[in-house]
Amino acid sequence: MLEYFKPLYLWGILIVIPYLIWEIFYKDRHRVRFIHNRTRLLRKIGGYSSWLRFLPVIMRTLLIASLFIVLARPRLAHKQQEVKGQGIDIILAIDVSGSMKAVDFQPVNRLEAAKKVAKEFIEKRVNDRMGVIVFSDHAFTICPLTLDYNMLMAILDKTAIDEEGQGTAIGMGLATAVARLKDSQAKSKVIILITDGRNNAGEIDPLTAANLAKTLGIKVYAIGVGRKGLVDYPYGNGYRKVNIEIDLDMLNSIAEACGTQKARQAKNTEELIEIMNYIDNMEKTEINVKNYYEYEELFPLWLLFAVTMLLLELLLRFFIIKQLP
Amino acid sequence: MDVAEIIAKIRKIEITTRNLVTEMFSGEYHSMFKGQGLEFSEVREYQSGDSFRQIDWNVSARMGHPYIKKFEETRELNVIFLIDVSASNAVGTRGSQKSEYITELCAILSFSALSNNDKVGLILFSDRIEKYSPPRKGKKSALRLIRDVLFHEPAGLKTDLKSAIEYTYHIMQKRSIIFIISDFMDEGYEDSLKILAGKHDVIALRVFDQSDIIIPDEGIYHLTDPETGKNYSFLGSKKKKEAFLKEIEQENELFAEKLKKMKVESRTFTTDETYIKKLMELFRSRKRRH
Repeated sequence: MLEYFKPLYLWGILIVIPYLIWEIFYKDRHRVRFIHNRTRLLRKIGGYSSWLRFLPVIMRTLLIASLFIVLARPRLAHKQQEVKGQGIDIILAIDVSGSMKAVDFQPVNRLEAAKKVAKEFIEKRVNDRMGVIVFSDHAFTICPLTLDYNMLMAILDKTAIDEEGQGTAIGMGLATAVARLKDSQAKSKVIILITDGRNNAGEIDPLTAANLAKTLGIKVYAIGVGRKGLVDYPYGNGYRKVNIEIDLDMLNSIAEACGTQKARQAKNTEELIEIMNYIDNMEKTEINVKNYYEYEELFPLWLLFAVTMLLLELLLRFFIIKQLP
Repeated sequence: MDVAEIIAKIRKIEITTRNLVTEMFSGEYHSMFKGQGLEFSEVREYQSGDSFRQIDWNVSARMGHPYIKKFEETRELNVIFLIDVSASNAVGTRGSQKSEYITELCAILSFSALSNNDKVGLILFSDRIEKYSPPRKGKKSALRLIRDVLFHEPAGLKTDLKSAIEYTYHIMQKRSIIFIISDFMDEGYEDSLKILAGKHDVIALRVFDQSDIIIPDEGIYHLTDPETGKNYSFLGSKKKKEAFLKEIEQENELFAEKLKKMKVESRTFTTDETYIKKLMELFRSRKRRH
């Protein structure tokens, strides 16, 4: 990142404006000149007054400007962060079953809304290991616990609705998440479960999985997206009303079992964001972040430039294009 | 410039040119223009000191006393200097300044004329008639002439040859020798010059400064035109120099041709070379003609 140690000096560059005005509008018009009877003929041969007479002035202008830049001391700051204290481990378990296609969440559908909110959540976390699992009738770890948030984001971007899935295996999803966290040494282990249906597939009962989490000391935040009743669901080129049942009781019992008292229900994107912010606040980790800057000084380059301009000007003035008188 | 300085300068010009006149031009000028020559005026008694060559033997024999014949010089020519004092004469790149050079030329010619008992007159012009002094005899008038040429402060900057020539035509009734000393950097004077040349004996002396005929081929030169006051910054190059020289050559050729057609003798001088040779040559060529 380019920064200036004393940026105020940069204002000094403005001094070239009066300098140029003086050179062009005063000095050039009032200079001593040779009397020459053939100026008309010379003008016919040579055209306009040669602009090259201003070349030394241009060089001097650049010289002045670059000297002020040198004074301002430009430098490249390389930021280095040292983070002290261990973060927590978070697994996002996201439902990708067909029902997530419902369009009651802006801007596209429930899944896109969940992805967007998840990304915002990831951006806010520092030094927490995070992973993502998705589930429909099966559960997949698409990203194990990692600190590489960029990769996490990329993977989240690619996550899509599982079109082949027949059902929602909340238990399986939760269990897979638990499995990911079971070897974790982190002080605090968190699963954020985002779903919109009821458990109707998979070999493991959600409550069993919840108990598993409880024994391992894992907190589970259960979020139900959508509400009871008919919602628009894409069908062919249009939409039709579909009743997607959300099993809030089950989510509640998971939450209760895993130390978060109550499942939360998000009826729209704003509410979902609110819930994620709440979780973000609940799971604050105390870490010390120390920033170290390594500076790469750029002023020698500018100084070199200034000296070059000076030499060029002198060379030009006295050797290459002499000006008389 | 104070009076002493002016006098010193005039004196210097007088001495240098006078010597030249007595040493080199005395004979040349004399026979330059045809006149009626000597005319008999009277016969008087011989007095001691008179040359015996002047004795008229016929009258002496008749009177029994020596008598001599007196002659009078009748040809008193008017020599008029028509001198350009416009701002273009203020340059002096190499050698002397153009105006000084012109003064010297004028001084030589006027001393020559005076030594020949001619009258010299002066017309200074720029874009107007700056000064007119009618033809007069004597050393004094020659010195005054030098002073006028050297120290006249011109009121006009530009050159108007045409009106100066026309003025001369109107003012000079008697047939005269007219020297026009200028750089002839003007146009439209041809017709009036032709008319003037029909009546008088006109000689055009063209005086150039080095900068009028040559330009450098590198560097930037900040120039100003003395007559228009316009500024120009010129970037020299070999190509431009060539074009310039070509242009000047063309102009000179055209000028020479023009004057030849009008039967006006012309010579071109540059201020960094001596005028002696060219003047001698001018006098001699005229001598041959008459």
